[in-house]
Amino acid sequence: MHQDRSAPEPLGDSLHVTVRMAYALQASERYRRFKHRIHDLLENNANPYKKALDAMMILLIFISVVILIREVKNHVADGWLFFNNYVISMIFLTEYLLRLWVHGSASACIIEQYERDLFVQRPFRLFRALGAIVREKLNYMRQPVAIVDLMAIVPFFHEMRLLRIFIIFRVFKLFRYTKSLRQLLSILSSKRFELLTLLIFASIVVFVSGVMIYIMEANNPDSRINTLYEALYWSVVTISTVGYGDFVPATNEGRAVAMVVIITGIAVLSFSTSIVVSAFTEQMDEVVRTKTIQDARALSEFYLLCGYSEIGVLVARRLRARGRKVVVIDRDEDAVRRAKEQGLIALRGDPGSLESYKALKIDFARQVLCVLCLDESDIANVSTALTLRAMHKGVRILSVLEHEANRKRLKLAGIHEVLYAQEMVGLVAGEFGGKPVAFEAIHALSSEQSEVVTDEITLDEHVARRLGSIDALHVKPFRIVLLGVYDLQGRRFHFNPPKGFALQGGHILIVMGIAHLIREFKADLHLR
Amino acid sequence: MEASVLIFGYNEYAVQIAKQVRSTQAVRIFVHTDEEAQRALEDGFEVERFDFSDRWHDDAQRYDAPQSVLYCALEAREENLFLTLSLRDAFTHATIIALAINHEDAHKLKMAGADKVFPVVQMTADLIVDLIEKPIVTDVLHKILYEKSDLQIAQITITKGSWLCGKRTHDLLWEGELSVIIIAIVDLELHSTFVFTAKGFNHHIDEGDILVVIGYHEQIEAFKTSIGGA
Repeated sequence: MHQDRSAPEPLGDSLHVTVRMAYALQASERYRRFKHRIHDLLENNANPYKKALDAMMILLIFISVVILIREVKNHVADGWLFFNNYVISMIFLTEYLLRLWVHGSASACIIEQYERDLFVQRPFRLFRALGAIVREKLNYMRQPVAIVDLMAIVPFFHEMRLLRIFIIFRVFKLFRYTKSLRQLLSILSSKRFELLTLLIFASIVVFVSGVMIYIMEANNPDSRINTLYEALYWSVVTISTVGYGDFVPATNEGRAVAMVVIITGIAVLSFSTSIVVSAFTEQMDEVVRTKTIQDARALSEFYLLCGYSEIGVLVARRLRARGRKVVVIDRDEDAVRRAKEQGLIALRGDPGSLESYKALKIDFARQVLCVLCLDESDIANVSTALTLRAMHKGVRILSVLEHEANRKRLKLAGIHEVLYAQEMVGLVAGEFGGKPVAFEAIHALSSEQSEVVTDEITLDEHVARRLGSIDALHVKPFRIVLLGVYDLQGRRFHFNPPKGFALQGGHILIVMGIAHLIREFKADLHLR
Repeated sequence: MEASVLIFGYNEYAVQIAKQVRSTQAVRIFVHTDEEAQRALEDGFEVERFDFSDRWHDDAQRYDAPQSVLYCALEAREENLFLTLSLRDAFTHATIIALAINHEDAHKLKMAGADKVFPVVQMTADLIVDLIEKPIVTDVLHKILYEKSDLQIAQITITKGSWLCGKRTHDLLWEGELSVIIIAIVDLELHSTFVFTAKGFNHHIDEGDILVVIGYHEQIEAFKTSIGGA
């Protein structure tokens, strides 16, 4: 049977405008970028400005609370009261509205409803779209942190003096701005069922014991518990094992109830402690992992070590001695633990898996100086290199090679530098046989323990022009030996250049000397 | 009696050592498994079998021990240590070079009698750091040391009556105009202590000292001639 569908009704002018505006907003690159920036500023912990914003909000909260406390018994200057009642409240209100705005997209709700209606050939139902927007915004407003935000704005209506106590809600806003408090909440919320059950149990005990003690004590002239409120208060004080002693049962029946409440109180406390401890134990790995990721993201630049083998341990140690930052990824838990014991940022994960790098959330282009594939298996290093290439085309990769036969495969995987340790040992052995003293000299220069080192100093255009020629270097006061000048453009090494040798930008001085004197020389070159 | 390079073991390290030294010296490979023997023979080396219970004194007589270099390159750490100890007992005057994984092994091998230990992991780690931190220096030194370039490194012993005797390194490095660069000196008076010229700038050069110099081949030869070095 053919079902006749009515054609879409022509959209009214107002509806046209709503939908058109929604489409215009969705299409506007500027609007989307602005909204994204605001969202990033409010929600993205990696945003450098968020830290400053959070710090400012925390400061405002403390100012607010200090004023509230001082106002109890002292006069507070009108300026501060104005600042507290209007300025701070307006800032909090603006923040609340911005958060409400960036949560979801009203224009997307309108477009979705419009397109759905268009698809089934029915008139656009604006109120349904508005309903969807309200539901979406309410979803945000129902969140505990959003409720706290709203409460913190209430003191704005300062005419309602009673509402000033709501300033204390501003303290709860600290949960939003401090990561550790958020983590604490998240850990506790993982055990909310257990904690809620315990709370219900404790409430029942408090209520039952409170009622019982009231029944037994209220009519006794020797007892100080005369009202149900006092009975409940006594019950809470007793179950919490605080026991102020301002209210005590006077009858034997009341004391029997007290004994039950005291024993129950000990049990409740023990259970709560064990629930909290187990929540922390269970979540600790996740907390540590999150912290590791945050630490890695906070680094401006670092070397990424994929595999923490024996070579990795030594490489990391030397790089750290040079003041470099190192991040380790290894699939082995023991290796990660060892790396952490060495004070490195280490994350457990498969270096050959995209997920590991996605979890780490690092910016390869900005942060990673070089990736070092130091696994003892060529297969693992190839897998790591290909994964990294999939993540970022340009990142520099160096890998060790276990078997000569695999050299080509590592190159094909996009590894820039392949280091075959066995070949190097062969070269060294060959050299050592002929010139043992010379060999010792060169290898001592690259040793970690050596005070004398070789180093390279790149000259920029400005410094090179100012110096003119090597005669102006004045290496002697720094006890530096100039081995030569490397021309980066011409890829040529000028050994022991003669007097008058002209320096240019991009020239690299190859020098030998005492490490700290080389540092002083570098600084001096730029200060002259 | 022959002056040879004796390599014990035929793993990838040993293969590379053998390949490097075979062009200048006679190489003999000592193995203790059939598989290693087969591979060494296929690569064209002279091969001998050995056992850890061997007494090496008879073998030692066959070689000119002071001129021979023995490489202990077994994969198993304990076996390499045991072998080094055994060889030192028999080849009293030969140069024994052993491969070690880490510093602990290196120390034990020295105690067992190795003259020189290559801590392979440490060397690899050092090279990796140099490659990423100082790529130009590393490349230049690599070419000087290991590649057939005109720029070379050499060691020259100061002979009696050389005009360098009594000079200070300071005078040679920054005052004089040498065509070569002296990077280090081994001082006999200081019990063969190794001194970098950049550090011991006030050091007096005496007869018997060994200079480590970098320069072009002709410059080194000319320098040798001018100072009457050996």
